[in-house]
Amino acid sequence: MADTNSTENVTVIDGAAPDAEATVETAEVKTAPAAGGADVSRNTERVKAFARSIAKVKAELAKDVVGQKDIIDNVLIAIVAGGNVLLEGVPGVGKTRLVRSLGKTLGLPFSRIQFTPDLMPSDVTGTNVIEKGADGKMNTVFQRGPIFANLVLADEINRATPKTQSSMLEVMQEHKVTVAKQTYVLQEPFFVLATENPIEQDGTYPLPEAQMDRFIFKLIVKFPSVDELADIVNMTQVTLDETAEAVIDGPTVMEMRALAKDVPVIDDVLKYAVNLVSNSHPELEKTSDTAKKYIKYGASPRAAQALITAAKVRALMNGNYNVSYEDIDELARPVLRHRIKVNYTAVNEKLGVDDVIGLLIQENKKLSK
Amino acid sequence: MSDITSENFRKIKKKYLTVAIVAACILGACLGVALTCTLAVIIKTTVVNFHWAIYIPIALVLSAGAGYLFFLILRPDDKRIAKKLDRDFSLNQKVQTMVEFAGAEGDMHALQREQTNEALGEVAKKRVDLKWLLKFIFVPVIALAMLFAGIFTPAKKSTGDYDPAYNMSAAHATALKNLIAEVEASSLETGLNLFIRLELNELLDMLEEAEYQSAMKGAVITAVHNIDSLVGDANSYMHIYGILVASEQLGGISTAIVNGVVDYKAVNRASLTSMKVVGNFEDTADDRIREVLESWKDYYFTAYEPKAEGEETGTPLPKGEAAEKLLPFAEALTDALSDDQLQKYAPNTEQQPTVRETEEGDVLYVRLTELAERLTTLALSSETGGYDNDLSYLNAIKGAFTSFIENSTVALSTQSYNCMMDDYIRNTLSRIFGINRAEFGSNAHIAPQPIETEQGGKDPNKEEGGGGWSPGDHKFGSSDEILDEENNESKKYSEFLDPSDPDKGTLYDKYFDRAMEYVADGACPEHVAAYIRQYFAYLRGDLETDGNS
Repeated sequence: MADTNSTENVTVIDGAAPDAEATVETAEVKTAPAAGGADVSRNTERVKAFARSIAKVKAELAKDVVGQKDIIDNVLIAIVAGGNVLLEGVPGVGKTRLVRSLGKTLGLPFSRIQFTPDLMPSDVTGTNVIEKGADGKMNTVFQRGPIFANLVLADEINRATPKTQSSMLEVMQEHKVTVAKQTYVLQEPFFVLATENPIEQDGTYPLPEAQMDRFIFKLIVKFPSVDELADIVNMTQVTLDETAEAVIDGPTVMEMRALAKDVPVIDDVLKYAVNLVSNSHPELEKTSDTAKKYIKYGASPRAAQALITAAKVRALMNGNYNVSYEDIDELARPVLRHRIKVNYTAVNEKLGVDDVIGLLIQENKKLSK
Repeated sequence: MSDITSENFRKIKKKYLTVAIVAACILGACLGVALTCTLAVIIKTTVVNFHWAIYIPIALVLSAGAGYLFFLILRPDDKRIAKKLDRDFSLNQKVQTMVEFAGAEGDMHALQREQTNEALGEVAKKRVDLKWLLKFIFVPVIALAMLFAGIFTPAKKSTGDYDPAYNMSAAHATALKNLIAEVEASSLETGLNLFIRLELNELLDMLEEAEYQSAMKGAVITAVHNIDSLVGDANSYMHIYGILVASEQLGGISTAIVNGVVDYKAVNRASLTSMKVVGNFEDTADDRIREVLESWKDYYFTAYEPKAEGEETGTPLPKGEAAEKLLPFAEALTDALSDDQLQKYAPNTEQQPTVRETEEGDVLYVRLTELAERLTTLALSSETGGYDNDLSYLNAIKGAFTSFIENSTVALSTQSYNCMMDDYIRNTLSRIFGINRAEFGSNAHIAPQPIETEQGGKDPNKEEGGGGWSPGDHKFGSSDEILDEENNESKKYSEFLDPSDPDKGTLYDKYFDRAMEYVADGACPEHVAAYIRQYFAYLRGDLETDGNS
C-alpha cells in the first residue's frame, strides 16, 4: 500500500503499464512543435489543427461506440483539460468500450481496474516484491500496479472500500504514486475514467465528497435508443474487438492542453462562471433563490476552475478561439452535478440535481444581464 | 486610439457613430423643443405671452445642450458595441473578446481577432439595427405633446399689462364739474380756490383726451398730488410748527397750533366722507381752536402761578422771576420766526406762496411775530413798565397770549378748512373715478393726526369723526317735501325716515367703499373694475340728480 506520509524518493516512470496498448505516432498536431522561434504561421496552423485532430478522434471513436456523442465530447474535453471523469450508467452501455477505444485512438497505454470490496490499495498502485536476481541475491523490486498507464478505467469504483478508493486520491490529483517512501511520477497525459453503477447500491461505498471533487466531470451514460441499440448489436456481430486506430498520441494531447490554456476568457464570462458556482451556495448572503430553495451544499472553488478550463477546451474543439457563455452553460451540468447536493425540498418536488443546475443557469443568465 | 485592428469592426463602429450623432441630434432637438414648450406653457400660464420668436433661440440652446447629453449617452463605446454585436448576432462573445484583448499578443489572440473579423464581415454589410432607439421614443412623443400644449395654451391676461379703454362718460364729466362748482362755492381763500379749480379744470381736459384707464388714473392722482401741494403751500401752520417745535421753549405752543387745526378738521371729518354741499361745515369750530390754545395757555401759566400745598389758586411769581421766565420764551420765538424758511410768510416779501399773493403776509406768522415782540417788551420792562404788582404784570403777560389766541384763531380755522377741502376733494375724486384712496398716497404732511402733548393733547370726550353725523350735516333728500297719503299732508322726507336707517348717500358710501376694497385687492380683472367704476359713477350721478331734485 502507498505510504504518502513518509519521506519520498521520486522516480519518473516513463514506461507503459504491463498491459498497455502500443503507442502510435501519427498525430497531426504533433508535427508542429511549440518552438520558441516565432513562426507565427506555423503556430496558428497548430491551433487550427486542434479542431481537426479532435474531429479525427471522434471519427475513430464512432467506429466502436454507437451514439453517446455528448459523452465522447465531454470525455475528450476532460482529457485535454487534464481532468478525470466519473461515468455513471447501467452496465452494458459501453463505458468500458469507450475507454478502450479512446486509449487506442489516442495511442495511449490503457489499463482497467475492476473495483471490488476486497480490492486492496496495492492492487491499484502496485507493491514491492522480493525477487531473486541473476546473481542469486534477493532484491526488492517495485511491481507496478494497473494505475501505471495513461488511461485508467476504474470500473465500478464505488464497490471498493474507502481505503482503496482513497489510494486513488493522490494519483488522480497529483499524478504520482508513493509506495514505501518512494514516489513514482506517472507519465502524462494521465487520465482516470471511473464508472459507477446507479443501481445495485447494496454493498457499495459512496465516494466521499473530497474524492468526487477530483473528477472534473460526472457524465451520465444513458441507455441507447432503439436505433442505436440495433447498431450496437449489428456491430458486435462482426467483432467484439475495438477497431479504432490511433490518430494522435500522448505528446499531442499535452500540446493540445497547452494550447487550450491560451484561449482568452473575457472578464464578463469569467464572472459569469464564478457567479454560477457562487450562486450554488445557499449559505452565502448574496446567492440565488434556487440555491436557497433547493441546494443543501454548493460546489467547491475547483468547480469554477474546472468550468473555465473545460470551457477553453470546448471552445477550441468547436473551432472558437474564445470562451463564450454558451460554453459555460453547456459544461455546467457535467461540472456541477457531482459537486452539488440538493436538499429534501428538491427531492420532494422531484427535481434532480440537473434540474436544479438548469434553474441555476437560468437565474445566472438573468442576473448577468 | 483604439487598438482594434478589425476593419469590419471599424466599419460597424462608424455606422453606430453616425447613428448616434443623428439620433442625438434628433432626440436633442425633440428634448429642446419639449423643454422650450414647457417653459412657454409655464410663462403663458403664470406671467405673460412673449412673442413666439423669443422661443427660437431658447429652443436652439436647449436643443444643443440636450443633443450633447444624448450623444454622451448614445456614443458608441467599443465595449458597448461589442456586447451589442455579440448579443444581436449570436457571436458567442467573439467581439467582446477581441475588444477586451485588443492589445494582447500571441497566436491564439491573433486567430481570435482573425476569426472575429471574418464573423463581422457579414455583420458589417447589414444595416444598423435601430430598434434600440425605440426606448427613446417617449422623447419625440413628449416633444410633440408639449409643442401642441405650447402653441395652444392661451396666455394668461396680465392684470398689470391689460389697460382697458377709457372714454369719459357724461356722469364723470358732470360729477367733476359739480366738484369744481363746489370748490368755487366753498370758503377757500381766493387764491387757493382759483388754483384748485384750475387744477380740476385741467384734469377735466386731460380726461376728455384720455384713452385708457391708466391715463385716467394717472391724471386723477396727479391732480390730487398737485392740490395737496397747493394746500400745503397755502397753509403755514405745518411749516411754522416744524421750526418752532425744534425749540425747547416753543414745543407747547407749536403743538397747540397743530392740534387746533387738526381738532377743527376732526369735528367735520364725518361730513367729508359723504356727498354734501361744501360750505356748511361746523361754524362754531373757531371756539374749538380757541379751546385748544387756551388749554395750552393755562398749562403754560401754571409755572407763573405756583400753588402752595392746600391752596386752590396759585400765587403769581414776582415780576423779576416772571420776566426771567418769559424772556427765553420770547427770544426763542423771535429767533424761530426769523428762520429763513419762514420768511416767505412775512409781510411785503417776494417769496410768498403763489396761492396767496398778499402783501400783509401770513396771518398766523404775523400774529406770532406780534406775540414775540410784545412778550419781549414785557420781559424787558417788568420793573419799568409801570406794573403795580406781580399780579398786574402776570395779567399783562396773559393778555398778550389772549390777544394772540383771539387774533390767530381765524387764521388757524382758515388753514384747517383748507385741509378739510383737500380731504373732501380727494374723497370726491376717489368716488367719481373709482380709485381707491390709498392710491392717492397720504396727505399727512398737510393734515396730520393730533399730536400728544404734556397737558393731554387730544380731548377724549370730543367726537373724533370716522362715522355718524355731525351737527349741521346735510342729508340728501331729508328736506324734500313728500305727501303723506294717510292725512293728505305734505311732510319733509326726513320725518318719514327711521332715525336708525342710513340715508341713500351713506348707503352709497358704504357700498362704494366695500366695492373699491375688493377692486384694490385685485379680486377682479381691470376691465371688470372699469365697469364697476363706471357703474358707481352713474349711480352717483343719479343720486346727485335725485338729491338735487
